[in-house]
Amino acid sequence: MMPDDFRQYARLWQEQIEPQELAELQAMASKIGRTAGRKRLLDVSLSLSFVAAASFILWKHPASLEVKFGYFSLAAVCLWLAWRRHQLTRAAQAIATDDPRVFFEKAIENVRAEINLSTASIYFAAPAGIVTILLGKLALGLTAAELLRKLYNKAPIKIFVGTVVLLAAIYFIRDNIRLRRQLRRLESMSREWAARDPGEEP
Amino acid sequence: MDEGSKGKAGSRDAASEDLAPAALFDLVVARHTPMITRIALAYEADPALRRELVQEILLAVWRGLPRFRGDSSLKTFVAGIAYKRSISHVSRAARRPKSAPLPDTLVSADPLPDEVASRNQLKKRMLEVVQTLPLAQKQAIILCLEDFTFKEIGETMGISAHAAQMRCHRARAALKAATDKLS
Repeated sequence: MMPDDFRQYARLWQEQIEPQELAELQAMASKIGRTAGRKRLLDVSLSLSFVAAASFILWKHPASLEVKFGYFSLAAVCLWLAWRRHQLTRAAQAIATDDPRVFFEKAIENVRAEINLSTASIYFAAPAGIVTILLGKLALGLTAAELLRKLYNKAPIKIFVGTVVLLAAIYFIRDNIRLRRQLRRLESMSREWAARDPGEEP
Repeated sequence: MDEGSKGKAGSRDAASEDLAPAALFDLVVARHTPMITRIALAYEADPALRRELVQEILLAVWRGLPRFRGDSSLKTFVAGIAYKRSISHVSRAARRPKSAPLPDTLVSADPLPDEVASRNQLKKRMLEVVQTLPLAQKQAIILCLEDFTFKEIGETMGISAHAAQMRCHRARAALKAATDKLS
């Protein structure tokens, strides 16, 4: 099947990896299953810990119905975002076993869904951060008017809230730009993959 | 490549469909890690990022193995996953450098006998050429260099064996032309 000189290329190619590097990678591979299991457990634990801690604070500091409603709406949105991210990660993993055509279609679809989620996060993260702080203060017994008066007078709090909002916005905007670049690269590779050489049958 | 020996390798792989996913993963690690690492090498020149990519591929294989039904050989199944994870990696790594200096072990600075030095140069040149080939040809040439048959290359790339053969011929010509320039 291969001409003799190409068999020499194949031999050279198969010598590319050093035995030491290979041994290290094989040792790392044996831990993959355990590492993946631990990561999944950590993801679930963090989400549940957040909900449990917030519920405990609300229970210890009984708040008005509006505050509780605000908290539960926020928690629901946070859990939905976490679940959606989990779904997208699973989808990205699943497409690795698909046919190459389907792989490109699904990979592009997946990145588009991530861009939509990231765009939603840009609009959601900053207001959610502010609302969480306000709800926390209200839960501790301040009225909305008192809180606004305090915030208006306190420069450090304004600076802190402003910094948090700015950092969140920068993070999500960078993520969004990265995803859009990824989408362009995937679309270009998909076109490159689909382009047939002259004489190639469909 | 001897077709007869490939047939034997194929039937050994086919028998692996009876194994549990955990045992199958051990088999992949023992038998196919070198191939996975070389595929990663063709897509990522930076050693640290390449290690990450190998890890990503192995994780995807670990997660994908429960779906392995033995319709194709285990080698083809693993190569298909490695190929797709590498594409995902490249698509994410838009701003990373395409190449990095090769390790000293490939091109040693020490005085070496001529034959070894020329072999190392050829290896280095071959890798550079493979890394810069267009996507479709790159995949075809890697699988050719990994001793896949045209049928297996077609299965991995989702194209016919004939199309795989044509892509391989073009990629081989490009590889040969580029390495001939060296001599």
